[in-house]
Amino acid sequence: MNRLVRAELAKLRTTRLLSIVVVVIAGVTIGLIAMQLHNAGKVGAPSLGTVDSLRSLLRVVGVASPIVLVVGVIAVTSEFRHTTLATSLLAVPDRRRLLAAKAAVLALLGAAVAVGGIAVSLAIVLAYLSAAGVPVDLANGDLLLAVGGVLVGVPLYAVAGVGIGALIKHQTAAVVAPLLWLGVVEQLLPSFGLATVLRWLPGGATSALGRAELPGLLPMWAGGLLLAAYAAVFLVAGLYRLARTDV
Amino acid sequence: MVALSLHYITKRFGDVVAVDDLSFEVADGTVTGFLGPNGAGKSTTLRMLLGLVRPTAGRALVTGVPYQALSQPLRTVGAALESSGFHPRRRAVDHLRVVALAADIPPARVEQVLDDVGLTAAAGRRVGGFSLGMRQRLALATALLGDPQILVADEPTNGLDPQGVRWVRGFLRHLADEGRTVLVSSHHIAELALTADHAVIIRDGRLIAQGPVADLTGDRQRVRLRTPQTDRLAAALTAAGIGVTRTGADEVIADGSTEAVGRAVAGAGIAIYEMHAERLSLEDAFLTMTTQGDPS
Repeated sequence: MNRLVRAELAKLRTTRLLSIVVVVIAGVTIGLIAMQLHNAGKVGAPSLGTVDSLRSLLRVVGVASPIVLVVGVIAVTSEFRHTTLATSLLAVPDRRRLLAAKAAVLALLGAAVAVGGIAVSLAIVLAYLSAAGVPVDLANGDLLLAVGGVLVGVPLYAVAGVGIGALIKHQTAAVVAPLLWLGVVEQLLPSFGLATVLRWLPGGATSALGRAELPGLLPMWAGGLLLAAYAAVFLVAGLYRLARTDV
Repeated sequence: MVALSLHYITKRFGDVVAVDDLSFEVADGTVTGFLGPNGAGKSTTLRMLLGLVRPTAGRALVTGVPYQALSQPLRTVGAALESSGFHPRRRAVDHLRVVALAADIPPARVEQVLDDVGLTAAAGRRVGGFSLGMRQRLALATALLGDPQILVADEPTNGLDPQGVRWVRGFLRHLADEGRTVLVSSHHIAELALTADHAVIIRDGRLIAQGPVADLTGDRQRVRLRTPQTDRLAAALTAAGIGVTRTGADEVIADGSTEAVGRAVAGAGIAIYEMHAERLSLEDAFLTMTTQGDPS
């Protein structure tokens, strides 16, 4: 299995995808942090150095979630698109093992992105605050929970992407569908009076995991479990589809 | 020993029957040409052998077991599939390294197979910039990574220029001379006549003929005749139960042995200017078999 994971990692590393993704995630994260630092203390935004401000700065790292989801989708759909799946399956005929190896690599990638993102964000924020002469207390339970939410959430999105890619197969559709769901459908639900179902949906579960200030969300632990359940369902459904696909 | 075997295999895609109750075997150490017109079901059949396509019915076996049950598939059988793609951004050497890693093949084999197919100089280039001929070489290199005794190639000469075709032909011959079993598909029969010693011919997913290439062509004869009396000759041959094709104002082709045609001509007392036997090539046999009605 270790060998398969290394092979899947090599697949990711030998195209441009990974370097593009790292640059995009770093750019978006740093941009959002700069914006938050700039706006701190202005209309409605928490003041610099407060726990609320630090929490929201750490949660920025969660922006990587939809991006690693797309990486997960591409890791599978590019095998269909470039018809490399036949080559992969000739070397590893067991489709469960192939998809499991991909999911493992994407979980690792998600974890690495989350850890790296938190480290970079903290470094920027602490440097900025120390330059501004604002005292900081990092030993705070709320901050630890924010970090924990990111560390759990980002890898789960990456794994869900692998399942969605295997389920939908068509690269563009598989990239657009989950982004449309998270970015549009779930956002519109409250205006159709469906705010109560939101908490059971992937986006609602993510908000719960990030302890967002929204009404009616599940507790953080339940949000995390629900998100893990979604990732597992997508992965199993993707595997079911892949096992029945003629290549 | 049987290297590859199909047992009453059928594949339906919706209402379309791509492969229909097909059975054949490929013996160890033989070069078998797998022939049929485009759309005859060749690729689907090969993909069923390799566990990529699930048969609707029947069993496809490699060394007696389903592909999925092989403990080291790439060391048992190598496959160069027609549309087996490469990631355009991936370098050729990386493509091979990924496969070697997944199949637990020593990394040293990567350099070896690149050398075998003459791609060492292009190893560091991205496959997106490869010509069709180079891709075909890379596909064959991939197939040889595990140094397998059995090689399956799907239309390896398709779309190649004459040099490319000659190279592939020579390469397959070389692999066969090393004692490997080769199953190579083509719709272009002339290519295979030069490489294969056995042939399996299918049409519409059904087996039409199989056996040694010599048997498929050997006893099929025809005779070309030139005469001023084509009408009388045609009538005499037809009366003798010999098929006739008129190919010119004074030329007729008779589907029969020289003996049968000679007797018919003598019996009718027709003047013949010219008469010579023609051995049917595999190509003629293929065209006859795949365009006429089902012989079964």
